[in-house]
Amino acid sequence: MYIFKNAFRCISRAKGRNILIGLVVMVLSISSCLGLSIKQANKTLKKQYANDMEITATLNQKKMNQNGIELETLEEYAKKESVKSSYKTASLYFSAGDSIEPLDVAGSFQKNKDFKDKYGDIKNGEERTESSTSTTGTSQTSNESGTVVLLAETESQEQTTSESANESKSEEGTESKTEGNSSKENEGNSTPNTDNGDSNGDFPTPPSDSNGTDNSGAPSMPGGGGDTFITNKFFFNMASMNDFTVVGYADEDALPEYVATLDVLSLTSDDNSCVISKNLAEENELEVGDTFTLKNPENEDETYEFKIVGIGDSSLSSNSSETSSNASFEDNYIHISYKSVEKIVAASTELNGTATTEDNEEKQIALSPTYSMTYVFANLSDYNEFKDSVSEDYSVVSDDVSNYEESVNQLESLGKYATYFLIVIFIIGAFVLVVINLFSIRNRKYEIGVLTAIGMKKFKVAMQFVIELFVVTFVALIIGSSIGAVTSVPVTNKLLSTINSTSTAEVADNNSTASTSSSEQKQNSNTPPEMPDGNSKGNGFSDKFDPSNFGGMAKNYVASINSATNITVIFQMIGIGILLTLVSALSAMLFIMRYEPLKILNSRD
Amino acid sequence: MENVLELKDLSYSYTKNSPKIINGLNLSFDSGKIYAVVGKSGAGKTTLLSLLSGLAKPTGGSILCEGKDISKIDKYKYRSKYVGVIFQSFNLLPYLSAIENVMLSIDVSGIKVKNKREYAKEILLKVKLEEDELDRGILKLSGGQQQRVAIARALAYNPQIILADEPTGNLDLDTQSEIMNVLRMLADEGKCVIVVTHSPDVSKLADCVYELKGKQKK
Repeated sequence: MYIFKNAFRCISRAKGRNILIGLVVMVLSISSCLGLSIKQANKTLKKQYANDMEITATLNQKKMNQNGIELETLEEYAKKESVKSSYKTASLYFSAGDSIEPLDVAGSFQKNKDFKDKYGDIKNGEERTESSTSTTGTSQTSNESGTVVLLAETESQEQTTSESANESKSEEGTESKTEGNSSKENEGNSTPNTDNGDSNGDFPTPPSDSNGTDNSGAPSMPGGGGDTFITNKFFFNMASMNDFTVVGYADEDALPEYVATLDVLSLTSDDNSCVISKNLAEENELEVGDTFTLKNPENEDETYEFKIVGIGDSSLSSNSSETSSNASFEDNYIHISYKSVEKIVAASTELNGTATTEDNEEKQIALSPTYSMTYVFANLSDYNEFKDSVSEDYSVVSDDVSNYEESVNQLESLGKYATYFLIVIFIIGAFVLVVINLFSIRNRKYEIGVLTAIGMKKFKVAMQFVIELFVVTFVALIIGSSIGAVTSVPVTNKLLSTINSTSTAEVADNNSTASTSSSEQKQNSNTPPEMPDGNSKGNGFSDKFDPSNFGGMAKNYVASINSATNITVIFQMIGIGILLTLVSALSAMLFIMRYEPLKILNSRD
Repeated sequence: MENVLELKDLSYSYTKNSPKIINGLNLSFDSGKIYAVVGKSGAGKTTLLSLLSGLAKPTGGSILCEGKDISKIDKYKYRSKYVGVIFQSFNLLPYLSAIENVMLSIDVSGIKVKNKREYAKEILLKVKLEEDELDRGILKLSGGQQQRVAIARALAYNPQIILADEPTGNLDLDTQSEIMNVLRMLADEGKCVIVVTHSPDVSKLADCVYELKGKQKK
């Protein structure tokens, strides 16, 4: 007991020395707290992600065929137990009709040097398309699912049902096959085929971080995500052809944010009311209440009228500020209800039959929708279960998973540096503490001599010194940990933002001229936990059309953390503190054990 | 009179090959007496005191304390129970007050005392330290006062043997006399007081004087 009393007395006596030790320990504590907090945040995030985060995913075909994934198949998968909910979209591809011209979104991509260097320009891309399709021998004229056709003719505003339309569609379609694949100059008739599954193997894979998904880096068409593999290359082609994609939504959750916020699109009606982008409206001087027509690319006489009920700013939900002022793919998207799509398809099917090309191949003239199903999973294990259950013919793509993992990688690398940092801190800390302690003991040699001379055991003397060290260390540890706990979150966030800004700068550099508006980012229930920036990619539909994916760069999925220092960190801190003190105390004890009182007292005398 | 300490063929050398400072010393110390150990510098007076206090180990022979060989007794226990050592330079802990130094010695020895402070005070008053000096820091006390505190500390656990190394070496004549009076008082109480000194005044006050250098002298 007197050892404790003596220890406390010595602590209050040697204030300077103890303050120095305290400061050293405090700095070590703050640093350790930061390091441990970063590591802990990483663990917590990953755990929460695995357990709590809702994940959206879409189904892709590994080997493409003309028909894509059947709606029945998509719906069959939606019934699986692991799927929490699902929503579908159907896309139709139209050429320009009356009163409306599509925006040219190809130019901006052509400016992108990296892309041009890597994939060539659009012309080359077209050649590539041709080459790939000729290898596989699939029909180029088919636009059954995902075909994009550019036709600038605008004759009729009303849906035409004349027989001549049926006649012309066959000729046009045949012609478009030849021209569309031969040269971009003939853009009016070019018909690259998104349905061409073989293109997946032939198109260059966009630069992308490895993230475990099959097609994470490649954007695909809205509504076409379920059955098409569309590469960046294809987008160039598609964009250059100035077409329209009409997307029908069956569920509010599937709506892009800028459309959903307008709250004007009724998904229960089939009256072809639509929402278009502000850029498209301005370009065509259209206003709410106006109507325009679009044509079946395979049958120019088959037109459909759409009424504008809302105009939204597609750039509002863009990731990149650079893209806001320029046209994007999404500007050529027309958002309608699923029922309207169904009605159009029914009308088109009724109007058109199956045509036969010169090669005696069947050719679909009627508008055929491309279906996409977005599956929502309650957590990662459900997602994995679903992924495992999916047939080998399909692949499950989730930008939620891939993007988050990319971001978690940032945190992991931060955690890795934190570990090195901790090791360095531990070594330096232990060294500094040992040195300070040894100097302190040398200065207190006389005290040790007196205490042992009057009969105090060396072990007890050493214990007194250890207690002193522990008390000082403990107090400094508490203060240091408190400061560390308070500063760990902002410091970690600062580090994350530094990493993120570097990442963003790289993206900006890579895509400096790729002025595309980003997809809508749904801020719905899909937002994962611990993502205060809300930058989650909750909507499979829109995710796949995110231009930031073009560079394959990591998204700033984890831009900040909410809580870093918890009880685990505190225990780890105490552990480190005890270990450091023990290392230091051990050296002190060894020194004390070496001292002989007689020598000490004699040397003093 | 009771024999409390006995040296049998005691020898000591710093190293194995170095000459023996103490060679085959046979001495006997009784309770109730003051012994003065004198001799020239280097004669081994302080070494003898170190051997007697258990701070050094004899290289030959033995020291018997109350009939027990001290090499068989735990050296810390021996120092904190059997002998009280008074150093020439006092060797008090400067960060403690007079009374705290004595109380620390009580703590170290592990003796059970009802009121430690009162007990320490009693001892300090006994060695003629003023009451107002009890809580004074050691460095604020005079040499004589510090020596009284050192004596009190040595008495804290009531040992039978008091060993004093030049207890008056740093003190003026008056103080020397006062300290010697205290030591006399302790001897009168039945303690065996062994004083290492080269002061003739101190040796005069001793009951028995041993002169080192191979000779034993009454």
